[in-house]
Amino acid sequence: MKLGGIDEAGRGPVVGPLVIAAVVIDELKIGELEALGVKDSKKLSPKRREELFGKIIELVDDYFILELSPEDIDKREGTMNDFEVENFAKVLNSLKIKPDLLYIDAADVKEERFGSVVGGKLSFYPEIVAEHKADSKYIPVAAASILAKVTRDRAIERLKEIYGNIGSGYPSDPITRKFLEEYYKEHGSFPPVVRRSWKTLKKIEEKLQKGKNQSNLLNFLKKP
Amino acid sequence: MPFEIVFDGAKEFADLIDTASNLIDEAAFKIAEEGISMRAMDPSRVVLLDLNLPASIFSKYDLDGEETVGVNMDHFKKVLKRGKGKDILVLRKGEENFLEITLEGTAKRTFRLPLIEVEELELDLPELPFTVKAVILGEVLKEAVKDASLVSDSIKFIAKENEFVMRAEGETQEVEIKLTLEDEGLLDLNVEEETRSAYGVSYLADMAKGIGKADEVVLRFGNEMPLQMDYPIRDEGRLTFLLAPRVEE
Repeated sequence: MKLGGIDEAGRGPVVGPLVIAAVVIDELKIGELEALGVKDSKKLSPKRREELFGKIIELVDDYFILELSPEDIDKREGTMNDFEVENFAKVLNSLKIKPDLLYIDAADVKEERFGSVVGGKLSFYPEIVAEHKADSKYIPVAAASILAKVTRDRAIERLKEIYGNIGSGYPSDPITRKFLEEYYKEHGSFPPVVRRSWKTLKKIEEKLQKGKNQSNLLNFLKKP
Repeated sequence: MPFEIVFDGAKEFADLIDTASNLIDEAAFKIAEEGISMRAMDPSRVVLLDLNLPASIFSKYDLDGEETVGVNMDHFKKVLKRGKGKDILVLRKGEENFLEITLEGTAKRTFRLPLIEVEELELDLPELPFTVKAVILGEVLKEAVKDASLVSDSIKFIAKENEFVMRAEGETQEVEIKLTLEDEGLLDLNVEEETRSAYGVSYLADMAKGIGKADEVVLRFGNEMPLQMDYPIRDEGRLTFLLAPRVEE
């Protein structure tokens, strides 16, 4: 029986791509993946993930990685959830070898709904298990999470070569915010690698715009 | 120095502090013979607040010498918001460094708020050469700010002889609020010369928050000058804001 796993990396950040990866592997080879040390990508160091990337690709029967640019994300119609469902299905339909049993890391709060909605868009009919934190429960999902995470990390590394220190790309990261603010101040717009539809960016823009045209009382108080 | 001050209408006092707390994090209230006063600027130095509550608006005003008390406005606001409309508010301080806030309604509820060190703003209100004085109803200002916020983050005040216009222009939408002395909402208008000035909508929204719909709000401004906004508290008290203008790009 062929087992499939699918996961994403980079849903939350404001910078860089959203990456979705899927793997298909024969159930008899699951032990080999496990022996390599494949587990939830969040529990592995970037170096270890990078090492595992090549080994996973060699071992699995098939895999597919989709990089969605900030532009793709901004152009989406509907919610981020709809967008993910659409692209999870796209990735799965792109596999040449189809899994009989598919594990999905559910992005939706309602894990079953996520599974059935994705399932409804597939060109094949696997049995589907959709759960939260599937990446720490099922080896195929863990393998997919590593492929997705490494692909995103590589994309971020390329951005760092161009833009310098951009931090993690998460809106809560002060380094990322500082990078965005400074870039905006210098260029009057954000770099092309950021998701313009994110509220964080709108807030930064508002704050800087406000600062630009808003005068300060001290100018008026100083006068005699 | 100890004091005990009683205000009839805890809710009204809470609204006042709520409005101020939108703009400043902490404040130094000066408790003197003539009344309570507070002056502060928001951290971005765009708005100045000046509060004056004469002793006459309080139903009891006892103090043993002048004193300045510093409070965290957010904490102060949250405590005061626990008061109901008809509750009586008692502000009391003994020898300890605490402010006691009692809300007297169906029960006497007393909070103790620690006092903090707050630097007083040593600054006289400037005499600015305003060219317009308009008296409008609180409701008009509140609605105008909401209207403007739909289309832009800035609002223009334009005053001509017999006409006061507030206008906001967004990228695609516009809104204009026009007042003449024939309108109920404009109570008085004095224009020395045609005057235009723009202000940030979010600041105005914060300033207008605590104003009552029926309050008479006095606006003074000049060409690309700050806006001075006064509104009365129990007739003799007054909250004044000074808001720096937006400048053209």
